[in-house]
Amino acid sequence: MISELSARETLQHRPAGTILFAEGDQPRGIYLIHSGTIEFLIRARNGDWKRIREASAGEILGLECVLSRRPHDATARAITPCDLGFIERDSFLRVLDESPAIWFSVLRLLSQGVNASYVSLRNVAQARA
Amino acid sequence: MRTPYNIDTQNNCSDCTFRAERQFCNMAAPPVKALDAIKFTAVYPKGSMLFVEGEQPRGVFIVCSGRVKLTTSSSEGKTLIVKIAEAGEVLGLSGAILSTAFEVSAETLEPSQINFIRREDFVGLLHAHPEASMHTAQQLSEKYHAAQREIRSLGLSQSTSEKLARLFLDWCSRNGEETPKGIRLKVLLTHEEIAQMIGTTRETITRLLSDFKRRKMIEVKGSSMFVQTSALEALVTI
Repeated sequence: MISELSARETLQHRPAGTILFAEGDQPRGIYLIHSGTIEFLIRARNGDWKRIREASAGEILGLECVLSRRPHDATARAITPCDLGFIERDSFLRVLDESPAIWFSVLRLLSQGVNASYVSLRNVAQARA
Repeated sequence: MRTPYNIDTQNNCSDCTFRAERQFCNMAAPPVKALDAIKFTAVYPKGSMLFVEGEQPRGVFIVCSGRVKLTTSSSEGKTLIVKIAEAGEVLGLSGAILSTAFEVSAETLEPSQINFIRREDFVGLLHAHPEASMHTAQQLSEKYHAAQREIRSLGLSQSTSEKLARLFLDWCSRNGEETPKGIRLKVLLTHEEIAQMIGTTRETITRLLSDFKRRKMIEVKGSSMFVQTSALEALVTI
């Protein structure tokens, strides 16, 4: 799958502290992390931030929101300098249309995201108990 | 066809009267025909375990009617309800696709019609029909967003009363019916199950419900609850 996506990506270097997308933003596309670490944060009405997970090289960000057309659930911020590949939403959807064989790889990534969410949920529940 | 549980069983996906309104099943004729050929239909009573956390996946389960609770357990053995799945949802997807143990358990909350598809057959369907893959991606995305909502609610709420208020407001926005007495909800969960949805104890839920009633934030009549949403919103900080 990576080779199909690589042809469409725009490479970006982002310093630590850069916000890639904010909670509530409409998804513009997906990010492939080539190096570095990204943290996901959620914010309460009173302004408190809470880190819910981290993502690192090899992971793809924003897939769930691009495919479901829902706004981002969390803010993504670089915690180290990052090399990223960005693919716009329409361009990504075209890849899926043109190469249906990569659907299963996408489903595997989405499944990993769901399982990681369940682990985060267990951790959050345990921390609050 | 009526069954002992009074469920209107749909034996044939192609002729299913609900298909158009179901996110996964609402596909073109060829993938639905393929689905028909590989699914096994069964009706389960309340309390049936469809799969258990840690079990290797045998396949996926489509909820045709009824409701199913998805739960996970902490290392101390406490149960947390991750989601109440409703008709039209597909369960067990991430385990079946990754061929890894289920991260959650699934138990019917009421008599339910469930269509089971063996893992190998389901993977074959995905490879043969990109539309089935697209609908599966939507199902996985929904599961992801639902888990994120729970993380947000559990992780940011300052108090248990806030978590409970948040839960009721969420139900109001999705299933509430506007009435002159407030938003009406059908509450089909026990106090124990409500406690498992927000990671607390049954005793705390019973106490909080009494408190909400005393403060006229809710009114309970049988299985109906009338909610004053503005009063509950005042408790929510997230």
